[in-house]
Amino acid sequence: MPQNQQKGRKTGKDPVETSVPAPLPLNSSLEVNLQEIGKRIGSSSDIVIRNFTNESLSSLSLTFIYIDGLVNADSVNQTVLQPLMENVTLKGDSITAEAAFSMIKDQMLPVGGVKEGKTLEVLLAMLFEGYTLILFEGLQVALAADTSGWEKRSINEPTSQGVIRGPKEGFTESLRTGTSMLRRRLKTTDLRIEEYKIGQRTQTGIAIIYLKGIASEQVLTEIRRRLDAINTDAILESNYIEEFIQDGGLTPFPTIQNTERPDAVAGGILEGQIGIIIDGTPFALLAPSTFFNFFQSSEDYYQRYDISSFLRLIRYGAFFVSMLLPALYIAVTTFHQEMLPTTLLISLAAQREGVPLPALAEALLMELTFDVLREAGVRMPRTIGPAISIVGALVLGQAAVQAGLVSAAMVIVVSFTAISNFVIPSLAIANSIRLIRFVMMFIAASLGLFGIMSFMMVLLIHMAGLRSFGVPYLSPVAPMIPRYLKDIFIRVPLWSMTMRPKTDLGKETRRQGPNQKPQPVEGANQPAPEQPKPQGEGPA
Amino acid sequence: MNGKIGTTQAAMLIVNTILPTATVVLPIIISTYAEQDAPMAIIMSTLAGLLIAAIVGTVIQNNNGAPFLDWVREKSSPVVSTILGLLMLQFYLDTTATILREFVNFIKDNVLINTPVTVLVILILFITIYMVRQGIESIARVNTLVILLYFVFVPLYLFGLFSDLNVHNLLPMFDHNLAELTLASLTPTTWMSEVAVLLFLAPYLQYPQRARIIGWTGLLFVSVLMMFSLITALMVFGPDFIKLSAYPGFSTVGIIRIGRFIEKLDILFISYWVLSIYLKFAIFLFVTVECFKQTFRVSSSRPFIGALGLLIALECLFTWQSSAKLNIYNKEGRFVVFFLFNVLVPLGAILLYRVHKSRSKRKGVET
Repeated sequence: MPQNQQKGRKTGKDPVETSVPAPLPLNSSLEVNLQEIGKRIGSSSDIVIRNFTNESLSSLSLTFIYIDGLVNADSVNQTVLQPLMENVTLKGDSITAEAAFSMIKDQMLPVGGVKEGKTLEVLLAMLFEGYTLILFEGLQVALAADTSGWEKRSINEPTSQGVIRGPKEGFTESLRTGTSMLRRRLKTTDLRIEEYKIGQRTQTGIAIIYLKGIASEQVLTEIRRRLDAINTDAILESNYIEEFIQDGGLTPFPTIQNTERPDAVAGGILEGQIGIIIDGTPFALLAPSTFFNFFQSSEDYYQRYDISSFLRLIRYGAFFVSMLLPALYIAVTTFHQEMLPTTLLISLAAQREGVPLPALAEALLMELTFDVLREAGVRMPRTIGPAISIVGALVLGQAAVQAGLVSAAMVIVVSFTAISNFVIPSLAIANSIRLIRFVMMFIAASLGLFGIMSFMMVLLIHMAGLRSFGVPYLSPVAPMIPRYLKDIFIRVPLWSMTMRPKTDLGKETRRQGPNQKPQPVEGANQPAPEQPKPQGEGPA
Repeated sequence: MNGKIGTTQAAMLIVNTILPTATVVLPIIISTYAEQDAPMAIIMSTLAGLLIAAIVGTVIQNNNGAPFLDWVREKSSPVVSTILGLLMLQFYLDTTATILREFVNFIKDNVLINTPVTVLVILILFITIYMVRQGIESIARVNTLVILLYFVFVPLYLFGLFSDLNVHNLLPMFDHNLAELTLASLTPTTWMSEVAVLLFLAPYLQYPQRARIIGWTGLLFVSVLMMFSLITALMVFGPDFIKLSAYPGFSTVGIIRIGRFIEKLDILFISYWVLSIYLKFAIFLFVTVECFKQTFRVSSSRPFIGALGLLIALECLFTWQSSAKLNIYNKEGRFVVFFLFNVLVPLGAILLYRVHKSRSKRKGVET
């Protein structure tokens, strides 16, 4: 029993806890057990209960229970029902329940997973996982055969983290598919997978995946502790886990990465991060994550280091543009006009002359309009999506300028800001910036550049104090560890990344041999020196 | 979260403990006495600063990074340490209030001319209290990031001013006598003596035995940057204009031009300066809180940060209302006060250590 459940029961007020029944041992009477099961799960139409008795109806009585849709019907028929119902020994009068139990368990079920269950809770949990239960008259123990086989989505390309070059497969909603995708990439005996069931009503499967010897034990212990401490009734998506275990409390910055890409998780695990896969969602988590992890994309490692470095710098630039550009525009046009070159100043003044709104209101109007369009775009039926985009982007933008509601410069600022926001590979940090941008705009409108710098200081100090599972959020920049900057602002060639990037808590381990830089072997291209010919040989 | 800070981080903290207000206040004071020989005054004050850093470093080596007033209490008596603590607390409250006033005055003169001082004081105070509550480790981390930005701003500054630099403005050199140079170097020495904050930062140093190196590195960095700022200002404007300008460093930035499209970058440099003065104010507020904590032997200083901040704000608003008064204090009064607390107190601590050591030796011989 997890520690949290015990804690909750003591208080007696927790609404989650009151719905959890105490574990009930099986009764030796099959009828009583079936009645109790019926009471617990009701008479749902998808639950199949099938009885089996032997010829005399006296010595053996069994009941099969499974949930249609969660099991593979063929598997149930061929591996459970058929072998048992056609078996001559079971049909005979002489067999006892104990003997039948041992025989069925050890000899008759051609399935990989056969488990015993002594309490109703354990058996029901297995039932909901697609197992077929076999209950016996006269026994206080039952069998469960793994016949799970529900409909699954096939492996597809990740929708939110696509790449031009690199693997095109993404996680699916199945936990087991996720772990298998990682197993396929990391064929090492050091790979460890630990599974949890979290959520009293959903019993969601959670797997933490790491490389033994590379992942920090301290971080692992902390993740296990935080997962154990979750006391909730439902986990439906990885964000539930993220919010329950992430550091920082009230912070706009994410301290755990999420990704749809198995290659990204494998890469993170190889660098000492710990992957968390949650059943029911294609988004896996990676922890601990520093601020700079959110600017790294899988594709950085699938294309040349020079272009990867350039793109990474572009991303950092886009981060600042996305956060600051509207605020800077407001500050400069409201407080610091002297900063602008005269020609630009005149042009801007001319544009703003007919605009009735102050710069802040103008910026807010445009930013909120864009956010409304963006939100509508997510929910819009695909068939009318393009039409609405045209209406939103072209008609509204142009019409607003022509109507004199906003200046053309503001449309450019807002568009560039929006595009910059999409340059950032992580949606989590891009969303944080969206919120920070609005605060920045208000501060810029009241205190100009001084306000922007003051708020920047608040953000910096906040980030410097943040930790992700004990790892400083701004490492390896603050605190500065110069030799781990090889994959932060730029990406150096792979052959020069000899050591794994270390965090405060991780171990510094070598990931490849020294002198990996490809270079020609000395003298390889020179003609071989002529060998003296042995006397008496050669062409005549 | 008050973790330990490394040697480089601590040295960089010393840079921002001194530099932000030094670049604003000192050029006019130095130039009044030394004109084009201002760099000589910086050299003299740096030498004095290095000596003070050596004294402070020796104290920290002697007490092995223990909280300063606790150590004094242990070596002398609780009465002595409490009285010294109260006096030092007053000193740090005054100093922090003057820093806040210099910050606010600058913003009021250059950026937000119409914003009431009280609003600025409250805003700055709230942000700085938040910084101090995050701990010295976070402050040190952000400080290092801010100092790294010099690698962006210094080349931009030099490149933008290149066509305006006139080396003849530095001539004639050595035109001032020693008395004038000494006068010019007195006030910068008080700034250099701010290295004494290390006494209260010592418990947070990863390697307190390296306190002297920390002080020296920080001071040399400050000295180089001050010289750079003063020499470029002299080369651009000449000694006569600097004497008249309130903020010659920023006036120099104001004439930067790169091509036809980048000009008047003073606001950009002011923005950078705002980041560093926040750090200076936070370091001094942290030291004030630490002094309070050691004087009154409170286990957690967090509840008192706001109260001390309020005292500083009130002193800033009502004691240092007049800029002229603050200038006179900087020019004439500051040296005495700083000499007393940043030089004599550490010297007294060394003396105390020696006396205590010789006494315990004597006791050892007697037993």
